[in-house]
Amino acid sequence: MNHYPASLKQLIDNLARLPGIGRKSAERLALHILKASHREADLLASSIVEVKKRVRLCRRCFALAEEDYCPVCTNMNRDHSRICVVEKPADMAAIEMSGGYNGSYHILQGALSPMDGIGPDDLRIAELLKRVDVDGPSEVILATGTNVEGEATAAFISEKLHHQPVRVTRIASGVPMGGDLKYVDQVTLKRAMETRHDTRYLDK
Amino acid sequence: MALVAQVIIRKAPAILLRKVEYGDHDVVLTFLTPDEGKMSAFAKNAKKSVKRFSGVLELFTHLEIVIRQGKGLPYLDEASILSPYESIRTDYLKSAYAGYWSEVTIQWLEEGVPQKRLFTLFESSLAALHDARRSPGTVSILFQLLFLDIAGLAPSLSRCAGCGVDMETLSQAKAFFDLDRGGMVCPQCRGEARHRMAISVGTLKQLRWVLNEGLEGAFRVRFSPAAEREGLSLMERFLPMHLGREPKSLSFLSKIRSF
Repeated sequence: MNHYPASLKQLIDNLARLPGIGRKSAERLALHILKASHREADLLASSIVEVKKRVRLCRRCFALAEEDYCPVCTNMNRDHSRICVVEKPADMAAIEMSGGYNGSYHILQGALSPMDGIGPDDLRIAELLKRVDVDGPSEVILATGTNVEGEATAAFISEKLHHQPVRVTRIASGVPMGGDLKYVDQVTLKRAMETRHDTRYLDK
Repeated sequence: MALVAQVIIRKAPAILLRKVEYGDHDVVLTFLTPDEGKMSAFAKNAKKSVKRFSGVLELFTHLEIVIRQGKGLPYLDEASILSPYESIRTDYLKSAYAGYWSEVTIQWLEEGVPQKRLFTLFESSLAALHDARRSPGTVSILFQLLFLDIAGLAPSLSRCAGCGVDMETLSQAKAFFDLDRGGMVCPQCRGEARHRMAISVGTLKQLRWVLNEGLEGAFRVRFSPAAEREGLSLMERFLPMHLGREPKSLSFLSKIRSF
């Protein structure tokens, strides 16, 4: 590494700090940036600065936004009587990509995790409870992960909303599309059997 | 002569205690096994696997694992569920208790030392926690007390930790537990205790019974709500004090109790 100039070495070091980027990949990326035009390099540098400067959390749902409120919260064509609760902004993006939901969101910014010491106060749970209390939605959909942390978070929120006049639902878990039954674990398969639906539903 | 690294493949029952993401696709797992105690293994591509590990590598699951041991950290080749203990996953208080037990077990154990009794205790405690008829708080008292017993740190409940007098012969409604000396103290020795807790004689008798019965009979015990509160409070102060570290999951437990 000593044969590289100091500035290039520094770029490699900084790129190697990114998740999933090892030293070899960092070296390749740095050399690519070096070979690129000034304009391309400026664009990359300014977009990193801009994203840090402009992106913040939506004041209502805590999604990523450039204004006080995110595009979902300000879109009057969406069904704001339903709130879908997810752990991270990437989960919201995945649901948006599916095209199967037109309501609003609430991003918790994580999940309860006993061994990491992440408790309810470290997440946006109090804000969700207040939002339900003030806005009075008709449904809260708990779409946290199906791992232990996600299930525990969903159970915790469900219990806290127990006395509120709101329908609280949990997303279904079951056999993935194109999946082979013999590779599905027993908990998922059990849930898939328990939450099976009538085939007439599919004809509609 | 060419040196070829010897690869050993072995199968073991195991309880998954911890899962740490490693890069974008892999995870490093910590298991409790009867023959090797605490064991870490690398599960390659576990995060995107739809055949080998899909839905299997969840915390507190009782598994049968196949490990490939070459040089360095062992690789997890296969895992199948023996008991998923599903109701622990869907109850935040139960998963908090199981997380606390996992953390103290990880903190206390060294890798590679057989832990047959602790494995049986952990498995029995998870089964009891999964059982809707059992109180999670009572199960946690039993786990902590029997864990301390296995660790050789069982509190002295029958004799005064100060002068050794038989505590069972003393007639008093409340007794005192000296956290530093690790046991009950008689009225004469009580004054010397810097960190002490009052505990009712009824609760003390039940804790003593649990220690005497051991794993075989302890899970039959039923605590009253007041005795459960007392027992939990005592164990959750005593165990971390003697492990020398406050587990993060214990502060999590107090956070969810007060939220």
